[in-house]
Amino acid sequence: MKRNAVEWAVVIVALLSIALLVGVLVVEAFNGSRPPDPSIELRQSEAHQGTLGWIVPATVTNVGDQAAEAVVLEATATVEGEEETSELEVNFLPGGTEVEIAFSFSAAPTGEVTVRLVGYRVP
Amino acid sequence: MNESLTESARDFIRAAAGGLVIGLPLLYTMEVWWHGFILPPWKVLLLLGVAYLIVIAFNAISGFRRERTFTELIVDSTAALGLGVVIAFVALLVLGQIDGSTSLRDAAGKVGLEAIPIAFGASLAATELGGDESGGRSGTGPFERVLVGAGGALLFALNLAPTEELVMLGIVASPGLLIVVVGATLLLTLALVFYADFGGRKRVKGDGPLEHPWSETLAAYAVSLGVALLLLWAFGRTDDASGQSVAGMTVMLAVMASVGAAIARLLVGGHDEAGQDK
Repeated sequence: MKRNAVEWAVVIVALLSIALLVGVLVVEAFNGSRPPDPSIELRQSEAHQGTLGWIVPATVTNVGDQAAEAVVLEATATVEGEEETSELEVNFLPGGTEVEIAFSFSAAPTGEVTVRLVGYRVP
Repeated sequence: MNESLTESARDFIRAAAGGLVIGLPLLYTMEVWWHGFILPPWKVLLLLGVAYLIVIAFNAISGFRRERTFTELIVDSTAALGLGVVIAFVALLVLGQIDGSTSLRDAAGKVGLEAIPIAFGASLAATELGGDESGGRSGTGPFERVLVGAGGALLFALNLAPTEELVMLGIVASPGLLIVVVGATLLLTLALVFYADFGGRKRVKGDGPLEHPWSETLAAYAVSLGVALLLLWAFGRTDDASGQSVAGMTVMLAVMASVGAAIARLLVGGHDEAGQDK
């Protein structure tokens, strides 16, 4: 059975996409064994006053290869002379993936905001 | 020439639409997205490989291009799988499950898992739902029906295997209840295939060991149990699980798998009434 242009196009695109997918999976299968390693980047410059508090956006990145589940992060800052903590949980953090989060304090903190990883589950 | 291009485009659109129809429920299942990055990449590859073999088997048995060669069979099956990969990727993009912050591995895992039902749907649409087929398909043998049943089992069970509901059902079930479920599953599939008379397909009994309603039902059930166990293992449900909960989950998933196998066997039909295909 002779194939025409449309059929050839479908077959070529199919082959390329399968090759790409299998290629990525094979490469990841060989170098994807580092344990989960959540890291955080606070974006203080984008911090702003929200209705219920001072909001500090941040990006959590898993720089490991394996996924982490129930990642709990705790931010600590000094607000009006007293230490205040803000805790939140990220449901799933796949290897290499970024998740946008935001911490909130009762008012704009003075000085540094520090973030600690409380823990996570390995799915 | 133009006419053949139009027809090919129509075939392609039908396959893509069929793939999407079958694939949509799983595209909307968050456990599948999660398993895309939780599962080790080699397990996703293994599932894709099994799915590819089943697509080949399905196309070989029920394909409408009866005159095609082995090479054409492989090319058609590859096209169905590739279509699944492309559609899965585009659909996940549109649903916002793949975006700039998704890692390559996460995206590849999701696309790999979601491509499987879409590829099944595409080959199903290409072979079974074409309007241009002029009836008169020659019947299929019992072994082929069981093989096609494995494809139906995988397709149906794939919808449940990643979900938490299955774990709950499997873990709480007592051995007595499981025996009841096994019996009910066998009766249900026996009735579906041989007595419900779907599509008016008449079955003719042959002499082979697999050509009796009960033996075919049992063979299809055994295959369904195997498919269920394979999926449970692939989705990490058997890790650290007790023997009884594995048995429970397998039996519960096999209900869905058996119904899939039954419907697939109905689709490819049985012997012609005249029984020309001995």
